Amino acid sequence: MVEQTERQLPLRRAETAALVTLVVHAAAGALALALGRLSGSFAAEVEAWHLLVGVLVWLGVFTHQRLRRAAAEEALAAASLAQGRPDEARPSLFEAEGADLLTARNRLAQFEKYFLPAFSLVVILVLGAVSYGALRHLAAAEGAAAPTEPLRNFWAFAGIAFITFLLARYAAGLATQVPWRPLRAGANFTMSSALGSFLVAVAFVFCFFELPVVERGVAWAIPIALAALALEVLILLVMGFYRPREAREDVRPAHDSRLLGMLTTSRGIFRTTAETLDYQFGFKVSETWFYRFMERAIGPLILFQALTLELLTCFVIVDTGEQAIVERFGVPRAHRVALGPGLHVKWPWPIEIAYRYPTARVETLTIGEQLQEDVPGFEWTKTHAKQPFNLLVATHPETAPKGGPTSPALEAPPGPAEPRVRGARPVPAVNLITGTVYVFYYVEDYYDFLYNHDQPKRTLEALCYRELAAYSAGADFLDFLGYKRGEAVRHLKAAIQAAAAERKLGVKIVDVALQGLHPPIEVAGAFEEVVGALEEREAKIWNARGHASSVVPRAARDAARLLADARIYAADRQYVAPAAEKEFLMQLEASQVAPSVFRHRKLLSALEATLVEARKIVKPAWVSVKEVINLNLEEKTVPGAGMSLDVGATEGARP
Amino acid sequence: MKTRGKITILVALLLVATLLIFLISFQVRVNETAIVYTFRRATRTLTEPGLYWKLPYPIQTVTTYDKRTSIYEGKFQEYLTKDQHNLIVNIAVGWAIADPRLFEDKVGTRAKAEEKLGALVGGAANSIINSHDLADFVSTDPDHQYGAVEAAIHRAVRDEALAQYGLSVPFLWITQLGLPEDVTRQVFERNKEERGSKAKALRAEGDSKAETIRADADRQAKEILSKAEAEARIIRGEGDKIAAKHYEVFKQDPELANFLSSLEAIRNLRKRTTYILTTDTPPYNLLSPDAKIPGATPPTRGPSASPKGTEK
Repeated sequence: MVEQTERQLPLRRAETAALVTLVVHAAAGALALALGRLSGSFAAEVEAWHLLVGVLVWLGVFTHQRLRRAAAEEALAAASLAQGRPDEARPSLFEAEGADLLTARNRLAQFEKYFLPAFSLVVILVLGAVSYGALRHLAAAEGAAAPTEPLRNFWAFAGIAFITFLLARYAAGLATQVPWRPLRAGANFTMSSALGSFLVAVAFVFCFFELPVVERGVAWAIPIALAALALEVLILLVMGFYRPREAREDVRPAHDSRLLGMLTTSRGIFRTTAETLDYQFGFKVSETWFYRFMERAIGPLILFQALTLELLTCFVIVDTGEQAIVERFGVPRAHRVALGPGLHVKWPWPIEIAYRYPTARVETLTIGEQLQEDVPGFEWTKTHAKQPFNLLVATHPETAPKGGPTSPALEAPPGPAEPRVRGARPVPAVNLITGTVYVFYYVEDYYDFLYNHDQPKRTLEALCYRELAAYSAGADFLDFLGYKRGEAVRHLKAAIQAAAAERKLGVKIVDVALQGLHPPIEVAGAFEEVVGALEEREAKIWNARGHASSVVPRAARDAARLLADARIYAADRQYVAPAAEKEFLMQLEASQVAPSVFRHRKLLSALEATLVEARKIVKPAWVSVKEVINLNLEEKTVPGAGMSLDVGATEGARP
Repeated sequence: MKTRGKITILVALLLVATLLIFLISFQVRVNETAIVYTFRRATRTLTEPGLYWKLPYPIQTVTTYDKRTSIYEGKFQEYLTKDQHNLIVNIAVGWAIADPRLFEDKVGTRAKAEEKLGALVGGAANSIINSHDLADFVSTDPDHQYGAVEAAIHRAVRDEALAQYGLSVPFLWITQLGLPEDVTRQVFERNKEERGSKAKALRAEGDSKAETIRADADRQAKEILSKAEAEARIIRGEGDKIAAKHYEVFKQDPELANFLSSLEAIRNLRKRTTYILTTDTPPYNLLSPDAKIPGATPPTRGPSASPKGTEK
């Protein structure tokens, strides 16, 4: 189409078109909203809001177009004024008179520079709000009834789609002319409204054939598309700030969606993309060699890639430790035979499809208490599980509490009714226990694993819980906690394997581990107190044993000493007595020579021998002995009670 | 026509043919059952796997159903046993679509199937658990009826599910047993009391055993010492008996003998003993003012300084 200038075009046509389309959007939006509310159609309601957003877009287009017309008219007036003046009367080069007169052009420049980006931002916010509100409303109304009156709605939306399509095409045609270029933003948006209305009309056809799911799908698709449109406008707005600008260039607002532009233009995706790139980068990207090459080769490249991908589906690489089953049109290629590691060839998808699984890998199921990741250690009395898990266990009658209710739980059931059959059978005492059971398994028969259960792991998990619950319900509480743990592991492993085989799960149980089996955290302290008491008992016994082990040998030692002393004494008597006899005879003889001197000397000799190292206190004989009071262990006398003499060394004091 | 145009047409034809094949064919996997609907009326049921043809949409549509066994785990539910004990039970059910047409007519979706199974299981479990004592579930008696209760609930659910909804129920498991929260708290209280009593008993036992061991050890020690003392006395007596034969000689001058014995005893006194002596005791009688020292003048009576002149 040959582009024309303002001089050749009727200036008000674009404004009129914008105004008419605005009114149509408002009317169609109101109608769609009313129909949506009346029939309970979410798709219709969402499309109504889509149409109403068009009112805003067209309002911006109308204003823009009006300012452009004013600027064009002003320019024409200025030109004709200039033609009527003599040359000398025209303003010189640096005179501002001419510029001051062009107020409409200045207004347009200000509008395009400041108002249009702000307006684009408003469009983004409105689109975002509409899509958010619609999605939230849809999520809340999941499972609502199908809309009524599908035929009426179909005709209404088909009409809206037709009218908006015609208007969009008309506006898009006008927008090819430079003076009417602002219409392009509105035309694109109206075309999207036409498409949305058409989809809603189609959805009502499905509703008519009792397939309301399509209507619900369209209801979800429209707000998602509006959100994508808001995102695109936002990106264009941000990129517009960094775009190189040229003088007198045609401004393209951010809300003039390039994606929607593909709906209205007849020049194809590549050309539209090229125009967008040219506008953004400020030079002709579309004329570069690379771009032209890509435009030419993109089709064959995509085709080649698609064929390559399809050919790649002819090969199956099965890793070490994996097995694969290949189905041809849904039928396993070989009955109960899985492919091992290596490269295998098959027919391309969708003729043959391979299903692989790492069958050799030992996997772990955690049954019971799920431990917290950030807990440094495992202690009974400290919180270590994500959520409580208690197993009901029995208590053997011999170890059950005697002489009272077997358990408060069982003795006092809630409700006013008295036990009906109390006494008919012994009521078992129950306890609670917690812990984690790890079940290690691998896939032994991939065929069974793949085809017998849709969730084999979940089934195995339920099976493990069942076996654990069944075992603990029949196990004695203390046995389970204590020495029968090994027996429990063996029993559980065998029972889980047998049940898995019975259900044809195709798994082999490698091992079962009972970890951290303990009383629930609420009573774990009481159990630990028993262990503490047990230790205390042992400590006391060992302490007594220590006493016994020292006191008896010490007594034996003292006894030996006693006996030895006695023997010494006896020996002394035996050997010393004859000598003493002889000594006495000689002393008798000596004493008879000078009895008093002998005795005196003997006394002094004895005192010398005894007192040589001893502390001595000599008091006057006239002081009463009763007055001597020795109070302390330092062997000091009370002052004045007597005379304490430090006689010191007494070598020279020989009598 | 140019080569490029021919290729374009060929590719377009290929794409159209592929699309057409997708429109008129479908696969049934080995683990699936399919129902073909012609204008929304079920006209064919396919249970064998393979490739099948149909008329394009919307004339014919196909719905496939996974015939593998699914697992449904309901929520914990509280039941009352025959002997009036509250029991919380969780039940898992394995189910599969056995009659796809009945399933489609009566149920429609897997979520609804599980909803219906949950209701069936709840009803059956209520009546069956209510006819059993708690001891049938929790007991160390090897003949307790955990499996039998499961089987009874399974039978009730299995027949009903197949007849009403076209679902097979190959297994039903009681996966967890529990007690209501209040009762659990009471069990914990009992556990605490029981354990506390056990701890006290252990401590008392420790005291008792320790005291027994101590007493026994003391008895043994005393016995050993007593025996030794007795034996020592005999030995000493024998020594004295032997010595007594030689003491006859002391009769010649008993006073001298006693004096010498006293002196001997003095010699044997401890060296570190403090002796308080009077000035009457030789040789300290020399310190007495009344001391008779040949050739010396008697000192005046009264306290006198020590030889070193220190009075304490």
